[in-house]
Amino acid sequence: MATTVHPPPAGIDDFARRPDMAEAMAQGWDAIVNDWLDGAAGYYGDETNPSLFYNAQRDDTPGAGATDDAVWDAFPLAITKWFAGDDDPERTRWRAADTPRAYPGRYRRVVDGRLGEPIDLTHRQQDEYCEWFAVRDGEAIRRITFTSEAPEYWMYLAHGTPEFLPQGHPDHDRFAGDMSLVEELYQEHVDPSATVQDLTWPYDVAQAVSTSQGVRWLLRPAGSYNPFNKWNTTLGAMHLTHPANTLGAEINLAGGATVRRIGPDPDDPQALICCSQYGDANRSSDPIIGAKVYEFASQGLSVSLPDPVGLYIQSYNQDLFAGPAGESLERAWTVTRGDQASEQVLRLVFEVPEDLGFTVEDVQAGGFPVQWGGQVADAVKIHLTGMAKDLGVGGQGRAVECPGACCEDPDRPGVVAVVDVGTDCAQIDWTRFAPVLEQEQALAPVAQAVPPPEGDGTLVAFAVPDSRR
Amino acid sequence: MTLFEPDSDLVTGPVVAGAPEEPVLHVDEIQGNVLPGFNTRHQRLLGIRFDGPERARTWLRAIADRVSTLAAVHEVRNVRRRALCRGESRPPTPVWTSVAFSADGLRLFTADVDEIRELAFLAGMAQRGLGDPPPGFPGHRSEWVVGGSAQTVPHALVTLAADDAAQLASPMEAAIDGLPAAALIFDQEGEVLEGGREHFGFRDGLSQPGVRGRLSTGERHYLTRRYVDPEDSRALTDSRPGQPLIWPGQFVFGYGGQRANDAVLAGEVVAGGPDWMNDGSFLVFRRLRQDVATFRGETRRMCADTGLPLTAAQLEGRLVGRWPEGTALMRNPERDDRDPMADRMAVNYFGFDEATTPVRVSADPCAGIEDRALVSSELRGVQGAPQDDPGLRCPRFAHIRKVNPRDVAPTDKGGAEDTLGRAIMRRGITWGAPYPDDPAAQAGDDGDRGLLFLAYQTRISKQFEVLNNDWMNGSDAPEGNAGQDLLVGQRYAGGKGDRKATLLWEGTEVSLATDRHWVIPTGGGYFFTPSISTLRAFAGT
Repeated sequence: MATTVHPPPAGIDDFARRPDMAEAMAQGWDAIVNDWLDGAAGYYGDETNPSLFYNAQRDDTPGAGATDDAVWDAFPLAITKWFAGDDDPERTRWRAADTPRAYPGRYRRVVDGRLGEPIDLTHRQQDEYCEWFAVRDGEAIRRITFTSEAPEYWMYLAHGTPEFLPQGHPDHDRFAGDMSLVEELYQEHVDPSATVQDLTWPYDVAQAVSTSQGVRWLLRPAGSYNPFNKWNTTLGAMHLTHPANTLGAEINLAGGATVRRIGPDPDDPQALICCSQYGDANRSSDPIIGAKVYEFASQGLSVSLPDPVGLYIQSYNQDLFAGPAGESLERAWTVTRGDQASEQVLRLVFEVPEDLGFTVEDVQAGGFPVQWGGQVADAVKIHLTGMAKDLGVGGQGRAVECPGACCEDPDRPGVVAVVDVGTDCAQIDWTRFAPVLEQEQALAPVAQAVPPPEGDGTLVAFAVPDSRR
Repeated sequence: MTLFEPDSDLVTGPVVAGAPEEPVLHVDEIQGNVLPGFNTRHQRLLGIRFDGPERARTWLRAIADRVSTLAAVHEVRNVRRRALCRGESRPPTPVWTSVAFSADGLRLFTADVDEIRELAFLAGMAQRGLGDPPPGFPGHRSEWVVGGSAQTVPHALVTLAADDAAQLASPMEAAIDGLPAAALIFDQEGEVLEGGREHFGFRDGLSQPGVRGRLSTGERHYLTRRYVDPEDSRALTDSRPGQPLIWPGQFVFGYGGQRANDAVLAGEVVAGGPDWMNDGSFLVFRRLRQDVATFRGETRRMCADTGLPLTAAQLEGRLVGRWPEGTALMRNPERDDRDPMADRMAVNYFGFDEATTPVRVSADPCAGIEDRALVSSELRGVQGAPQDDPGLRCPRFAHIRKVNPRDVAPTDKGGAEDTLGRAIMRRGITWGAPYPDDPAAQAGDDGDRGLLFLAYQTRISKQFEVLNNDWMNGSDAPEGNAGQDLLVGQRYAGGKGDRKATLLWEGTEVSLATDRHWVIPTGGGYFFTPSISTLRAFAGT
C-alpha cells in the first residue's frame, strides 16, 4: 500500500507556520482527504457493480496512473448563457458576475437555544471553482484577486479535524484548529486590519446542512469561523463562497461521473451530466470534469484525483490587456498562493505595478477600460487533473439507467435544468436560474428556504453528520 | 429511395427523414464572398479611408451596384460545375466585388454603430490582444502595413476577385475613382499558389463547414450539396463525410445559429444589434507574413535537438496535421496518399476522439473520384479512420486539431456540439511569390509573402478569437497536455517567444520548443460585410 500523505492544496506551506503543530495538521488533512476519497469510492459502487473511483493512496498495484487535464474558463458560463440574448450581452454578464447574491436561509441566529431570524449573507455568483473580488477606491478598481481555494481547507484551519471526522474516528482529535493562523493569512492576503472578531460569528448561529437524512441544523457557537465574513465577501476574497464551489462537490462529481450509463452520448458533456445528475449543466466546469472522467471510465479505467487534491487556476492570458499607451502588463500578475510552474495556482492578483504610473481602471481589456473584475476573469482558466489506471475492475461492472434528464429553457436555448427522469419541463420556474444584477436585490430580505428542526425546535450541538452527501 | 441528383442545380440533396426545415437564404442580399465564396485564383484587397461622410456616400453609390451577391456567384459556380461534369474547360469567371466596413467606417453612414453587440468588432483587431508581438518585436502593430492603429484601419475593405489578374486592373481603377490619392491606404494582390498550397507547402482551405439553408423555396434546393446516405443518421448532421452542417446564423446575421448542445436543430436567430446588420457578416482580416526559411530551419533544428528519427518534412506534417498534398495524418500517419484530392468524400473524414466508421455516399461525377458512367442512384462506401485520443498519429498541438478539434470532448469549452459553434468560413488567399528552391535565390529573398487570412462569422469573440487566443495560443486547450500550435500560434510570454509542445513518440514525451516565429502578423482588422439593401441605404439610393 502506498504510504504517501495527501498534501494540502498545491502543497501550500501554511502548516509550517505552526511548527509545533505542523505534523498533526498534515496528518489531519491527510485523514480528511482519505475519508472523502474512500467515501466516494464506496458510495459509487457495490459488490455487483464495483466502483471505478478509487483512492490512489490505497492503490498498491504496480505502475503509475495516466493523467489528463480538464480545463475550463473561470468566467461563469451560466451567466454568459443567461444574458446571451441581451442587447448588451458582454457588459451585462460582467456586471452580473461582479454582483453578490443573497444566501438565503442557510444560516440563522440562535436565540435561547432555538432558531431565530435568518442572517443576511451574500456569496459570489462565480461558480466555476474560481472567484474574484475587485478592490475599489470609490468606483475605480485598484486590484483584482482571484482564488480557487475551497472553503473546506479554511474550515479545517479554523476548526481542525472535528469539523470533518466523526467522533470515534482515530484522527478526530488530531488537530483542533487555529483561528490565529486563519487571521494571519487573512491579514497577509486580504487586509492587514482583519481580526479574529471580523472572521468569526459574534453570536451563536445555526447552519443548515444537507445530509442523507435531510436537512439538519447545526449549532455554530459564537467565535466559530464565519466563511461569509466581510473580508471574504463584501470587502475581499480569501476563499470560495459559492455553495457549489467545494472540494466535496469536486470529489462527488468525479465519483459520480465514473458510473457508466445507458443512453447518453459519451461525447456530449451536457447529456452526461443530465443523465447522472452529478452537477450543474449550465457551468463549464461540471460538465467538462464529468465528461473527462467518463471518458476514462467508459474505457474500463479506474479514476482518482492525484495529489495534491484540488482545483487550480491553470493559466491567465496576459495578452488581452495593455496599459493606456500600450504598455505590457506582464508584471501586473502575481501568484501569491500556490505554484505557477506546476499550474497549481491558488491565488492570483492583478494589480498594476506602481512604477507604471497608472492603475487597473486605466487598463484596456480588449479595447475597453476595466470596469469589472469579470473582464479580467475572461483571461483566466481553471483546471482539474484526473488520474486513470486499469485496476482490473472495469470489466466487472455494467452500465445503469439514467436517473436524470435535461430540460431546456424555451426562452433561453442553452439554459438547462437537470431534473429527474419523467419531470414535466413545463413546470420549471426558470427565473430561479437568473443571475442577480443589482446589489439591492442581492441584499433583499432572505427567504426562509430551510424548514426549522422537527420536534420542539431545539438545536443540537455541532457534530459531523453521518453524511453530507 | 430518393437520392442526390448530381446533374441538378435545384435538387441538391436527398430527402432525409427527421431533418429539420432549413431557412431560405436571401440570395440577393448576402454578399457573394460570404456565401458561397469567390474562391478565384486572383484577388485584390483595397483599404480605403474617406475624408468625410459625403465622400463615403458618393463612393458607395458608385460601387454598391457592382457588389456581387450570393445568387450571382452561385450561378457561376453551377456553370463551372456543369462544365466540369461534362469534361469541358473552366468557363471564365466575371470580376466579383465585395465591400466591408470597419466600425469607424460604418459611423460614416449611420449613428447607431455602438448598438452593435459584438464589442470585439467595435474595439477593432489591434486593440484585442491576440497574442501578437509586443513592442520591439517584428510584427508589433506599430509596424503593420494596415490596421495597426485607429488611423490606419481602412474605413472600407474592398475585395476584387477574378481568375486572371489582368481582369482586375479596370475594376481597381473604378473602385477608387473619384477618391483622392491618399484615400487608398492599402493595396494588396493575392494569388493562389500552384496546387492551392500556402507558402510552407501545404494544401490550404481543405476543411470548410457546410452551411445549411436553401436557395429557394424548393424543398431540397440546398446551398450546400448533400452526399451522405439518407438512411444513415449522419445525413442529419453532415453534408459529406467530415463536413458538418452548420446553421447559417453562425456566418450571416438574421438566421438561426448553431446550438451548443445539439448538432441538428437550429438555435436562436442571431442578431447583431441594429436591424441593418441582417444578411451581413463580420469579416476578420489578418495579413500574416510567412518566413519560410525560419520555419524550415527551426523544424530541422528541433529534429536535431530532440534526436527524433524524423525528417524536418515529417515534423512539419505533424505541426500541420496533414501532409503537403492534403492527406490528414489521421487517415495516413506515414505519408500523403497518392492523390488525396481525388476523393473529396474521404479527405476530411476523420475524428480524433473516436474512430469514424464507413459511410455510404451518393455517387457524384463532379466530386473527383467518381466515374462519369456512375448513375446518380448509386451509393459507394467511404472508409473511416481510427481514433487517436492521445495524439499519437496526429498530435494534440497539430494546427488542424487545435483550430478544429472536431469530435474531441470535452474541450475547454464543452462538447463536440459546442465546437461546431466555433467554426468560421475561411476565404483566405496567399500573397507573394513562392519561396525559391534555389539556394542562390534564397540568399537574396525579400521574404515578402504570406497569407491574407479572411474569415466570415457572426461572433468574433466566440469564434475567431477563441480559435486564435484560447486554442492556437493556449497550451492546454482545446485539449489538455497539448502545447501550443507551433505552426501559427503566437506567444511572447516573458517578452520573448517561447512556444512549446509535447510530441508523443514511442511511449515517451518529447518536448518541442522554439523562440522563433515564422508567422508574423503584419496587418489586419475587423470589418462588417453588409447586405445589398444596407449598402444601398447607406449610399442613399
